[in-house]
Amino acid sequence: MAKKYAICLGFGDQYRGTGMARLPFAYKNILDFSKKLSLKGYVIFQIIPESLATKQRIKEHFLEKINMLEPDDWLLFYYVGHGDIRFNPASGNNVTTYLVTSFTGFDPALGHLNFFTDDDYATVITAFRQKAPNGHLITILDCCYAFGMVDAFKDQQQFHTIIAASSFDKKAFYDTNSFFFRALQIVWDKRLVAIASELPPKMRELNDASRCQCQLARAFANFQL
Amino acid sequence: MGPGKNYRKTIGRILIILLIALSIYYIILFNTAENLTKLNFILILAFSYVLTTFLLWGMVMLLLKLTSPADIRFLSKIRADHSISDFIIGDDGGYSLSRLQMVIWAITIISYQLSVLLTLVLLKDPAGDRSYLFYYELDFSESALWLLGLSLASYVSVKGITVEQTKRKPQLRKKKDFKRPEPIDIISGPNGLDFSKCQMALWTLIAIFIFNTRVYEFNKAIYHQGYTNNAKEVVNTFSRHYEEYSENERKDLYDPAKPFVPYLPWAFIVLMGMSQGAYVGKKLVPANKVDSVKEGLKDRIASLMDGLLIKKELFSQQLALTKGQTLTPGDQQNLLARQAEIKAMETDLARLNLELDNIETITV
Repeated sequence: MAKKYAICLGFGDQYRGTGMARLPFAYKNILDFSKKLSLKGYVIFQIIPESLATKQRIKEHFLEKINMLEPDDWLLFYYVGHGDIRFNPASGNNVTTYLVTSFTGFDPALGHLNFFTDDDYATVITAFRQKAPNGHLITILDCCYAFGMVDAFKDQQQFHTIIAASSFDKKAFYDTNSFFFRALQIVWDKRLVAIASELPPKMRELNDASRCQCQLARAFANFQL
Repeated sequence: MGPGKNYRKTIGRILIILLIALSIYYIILFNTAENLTKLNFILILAFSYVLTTFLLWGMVMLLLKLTSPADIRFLSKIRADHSISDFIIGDDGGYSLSRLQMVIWAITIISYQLSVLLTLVLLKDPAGDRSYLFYYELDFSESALWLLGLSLASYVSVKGITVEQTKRKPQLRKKKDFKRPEPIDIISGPNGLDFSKCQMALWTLIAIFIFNTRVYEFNKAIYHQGYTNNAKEVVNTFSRHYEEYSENERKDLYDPAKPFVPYLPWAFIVLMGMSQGAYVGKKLVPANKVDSVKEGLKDRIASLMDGLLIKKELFSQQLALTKGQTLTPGDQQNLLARQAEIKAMETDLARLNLELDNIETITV
């Protein structure tokens, strides 16, 4: 029987003094969400503390955990924190999206490449596909420009469900908590449970995912941004 | 009944006696056809002051009566709960200088108009076919309007600052801070006598005195012009405004028989403006820095506590969820780092609590 695993990642305090706003709700959201997941039978992998969560460490963590998977296992990745984009004029203004991970050992010469980029996540997705060809990957990103992290795969992946707080070119909103997380809690019982629990992945789940995204959008509208 | 109520009651009684006495005096004056003396004009001015105060108060009482619940039928019940000094009581329960200025300038300017009106009523045309009330103009000098405006602006700004500070830190305005009003409140702040308030009060008194001398001159001139049947000059006096920066208005050309509409020099208005500015500016600076530091520390402690609780819960959840799992070296490192994070937060919390304890011992 396929097992379900989850990797949660959240950053709230480390932005102090970086010019980016602190996100004090990040840990609570991770705690609440991992509780929900564990009730649905997910095994939650160790959460990397902020001080250690460098790009390299996150990649290693992903690959280490993916290596433990069976061919039909599921993996859910939940991220809450800042996301950002960088235009690359050298390569025809291609956009690189990245999750603003730990600043430990920041190398100014590397710039945004110090952080966990969409290319890094593409490596993770490829590794997952190879290790769990019959499994399913669920990516839930609660950050700005969230869809940019996965938009390279949006057309061809039936094994991958993506739920994102914002499109590749938009910011995500928050006040005392992230609006996406509030919406997520509203749609959790109706749609997300079905997506996160049912086996095997079918087209119906993809429909569910898109309905889920629609409901999230409706929930956003209710917040009257 | 406290001592505060007693002196308020005494002032009220004195005002009532004054009103009755001055009304009788005015009626006697009305029935005599003689030319008025200097003392008569001073007493007319005093009468208009007392009358204005009572008119304002009477209007408030009437409004209170109309808006009170039906079971309060008697005015005496409302009067027992309210006093004329309510006009000048600030948000902290003590007398407020900005409110006093606003009220005193309003009363002065209304009294000035009322005294002109009373003077015109006393004017008797020998032929008896002309009422001088017809020539009355509700006219103000620019400086009088500025004075009233400055007091109003200062009152509104101080009110805004108080509301904003209360909204930001409601805990700074505890119930114990609301005190019994004492006359000394007008010239004192939270840390005792306040120099800026003292000088503001003094400037206000000087300005009111000067303004009233002009009102006195104005009334006297109007009366004498009317008494000599010079209606045209009465009309001219009502429209004669002083233009300080005009060549034609030089002081050496001033004729006491042709006074200007009561005014104050612009230098004085600027001085009042600066004084009001200093007073409002002082309100913006926190009176008690220790309180602000304490509140800031408490906020930081509360936020750190919240974060610590969540991290501790996250840590224990991690331990519970990974129970039975084979921990990789990376996982073990994660747990150790999480523990170190919690420990660092606890150290921070202990340091902040110690800092708060030290501040708590400071008596203000």
